[in-house]
Amino acid sequence: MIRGKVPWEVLEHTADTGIVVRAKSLPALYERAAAAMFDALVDLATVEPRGDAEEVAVEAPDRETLLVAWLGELLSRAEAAGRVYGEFDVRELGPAGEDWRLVARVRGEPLDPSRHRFRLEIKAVTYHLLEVRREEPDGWLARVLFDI
Amino acid sequence: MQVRLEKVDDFRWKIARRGAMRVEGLVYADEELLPSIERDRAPEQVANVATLPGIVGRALAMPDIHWGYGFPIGGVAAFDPDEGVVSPGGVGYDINCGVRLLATNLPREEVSPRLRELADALYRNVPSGVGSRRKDLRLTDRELRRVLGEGIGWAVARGLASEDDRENVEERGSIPWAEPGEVSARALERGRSQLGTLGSGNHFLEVQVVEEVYDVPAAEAMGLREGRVAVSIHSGSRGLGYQVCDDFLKVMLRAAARYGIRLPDRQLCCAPVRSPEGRAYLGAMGAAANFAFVNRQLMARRVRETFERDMGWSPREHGIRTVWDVCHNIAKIEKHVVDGRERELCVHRKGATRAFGPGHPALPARYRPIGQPVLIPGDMGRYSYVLAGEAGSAEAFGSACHGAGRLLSRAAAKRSARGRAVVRELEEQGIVLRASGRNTVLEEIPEAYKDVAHVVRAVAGAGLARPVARLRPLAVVKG
Repeated sequence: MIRGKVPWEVLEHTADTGIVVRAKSLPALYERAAAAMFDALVDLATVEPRGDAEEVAVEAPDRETLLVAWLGELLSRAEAAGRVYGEFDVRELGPAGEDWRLVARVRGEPLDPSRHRFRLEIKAVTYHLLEVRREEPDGWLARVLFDI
Repeated sequence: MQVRLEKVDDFRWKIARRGAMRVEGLVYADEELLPSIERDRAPEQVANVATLPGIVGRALAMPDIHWGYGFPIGGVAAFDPDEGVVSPGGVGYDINCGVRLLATNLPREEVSPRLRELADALYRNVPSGVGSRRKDLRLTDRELRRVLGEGIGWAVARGLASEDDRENVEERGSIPWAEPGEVSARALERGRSQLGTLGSGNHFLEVQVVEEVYDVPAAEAMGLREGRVAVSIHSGSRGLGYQVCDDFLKVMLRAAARYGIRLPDRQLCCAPVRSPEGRAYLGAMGAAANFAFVNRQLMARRVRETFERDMGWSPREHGIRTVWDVCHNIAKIEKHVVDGRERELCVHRKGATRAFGPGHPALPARYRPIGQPVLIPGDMGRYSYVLAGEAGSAEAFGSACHGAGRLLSRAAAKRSARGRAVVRELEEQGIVLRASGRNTVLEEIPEAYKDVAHVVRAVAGAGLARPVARLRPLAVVKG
């Protein structure tokens, strides 16, 4: 489970921007990617996750498209509900039949322009430059580009 | 795939058929623009587009081309409706991102002394920035679906647009094949409170002056005169469109595999135009496009209200009217002549603008003699252009460029801008800036973009469109 800011790098691109994150396990990697995305969106230091946890469940053809589905669902849900998320707990992550499946519980709070420092508008999570791979010696790396 | 650009003439470079390419590629550019195009991997993406089934003619790229995802930005690709595919990546996330241009009768001298006041009022009245929403327009689901189904037609019925507005919008602001039922509940939720908002990033609302007119009869037809003020609005379908694209990328990823379509790049995922998935996407995309037309219309209305109520200019004084409204991220079913035969095609324009030439039946009477207005926004420090479509655009399925195209990544732009007082630099040039986000200002500095004048020169050299007027920014509102 991850709450608040995590270390992440900017993935540079001419028209858009993205994130590179690392973690020791796959679930932690997905949690970090979510935290990094929201940190790119609005400084996570200004976000106070509270209230009830929400469940998120997504499926996709493979591990990488699953990352897009996970981040995309969080982004989309946040915008639709007028919320921002800051706590991510991936409970389930792995193959499920023909697909890959992720189940998580997340917490956040309503958008508050007076407190939340917005950084940029992310239109969508893209499949471009998408990567989820092992990194020596014992970790994982994920790379995702956002449409800005 | 390493791609070689072979010069055809001063404004055309060919990508020869190789490997899985079904047709050639063609990049419109000039010698000056070419190096940055070659350094970018966009030509590779043009070659990838050329591999898609049912592609007709050539995979095309405009002079403002840059690396996108899957399809390059600044790309045009047409497909046979029976043999070919439709692809959400060939349209982009911001469905019907486009530009609305309003002309006014106000001379610059009348507006300049009150520029800050005007900029402040526009910034107040037109919601912009990350998380911006409108609280005044409460739409039920049913009403929102009418917006999606009818586009500007809905706005006219509600008294929010005039017939003159409608006549001067591409497709009369209503895509005939729009299907609101194909738009997901999540997309509706995202878009519901965003109708009439600018957004962020490279979207803007700009007060401009017509600095130079190159084609007097065309400018007259458009209502543009040297020294008069104009207003441009650059925005799209907001969260609703982004969600539609996202939804259908997922659908198409699976569909492409099922239909046995080999993809050199996942983001080129597609389905046959006539398939259930293809039809559903076209319907949803049309609905999102209608949302964007209404979005720009509502903001234009706010501009008019601002001129009247906040600034005190009467309708006769300001004379605000819609010059034109273009899409630059869209896929359309259009008739084009190919090898002497008229055919219906599914034309994708991602970061490219329709530019029908004189005489085209799709144009309203006012523009039929001169060609369709083509609105080309530049960066916030320099200039924008208005062009008129030429008969020569037929070679590019009636298309031209859409804007300047980025040169620097956002991170690089921020590094370059660090320590600089960007707002003051602009003010020293007489440009007032109002922005919600400080980051946006740094990321959108003029140097982050190609010089749009170069792009326009190449488009004109290739015979796709001709310059009509150049507009200079006076005040810029950004999210």
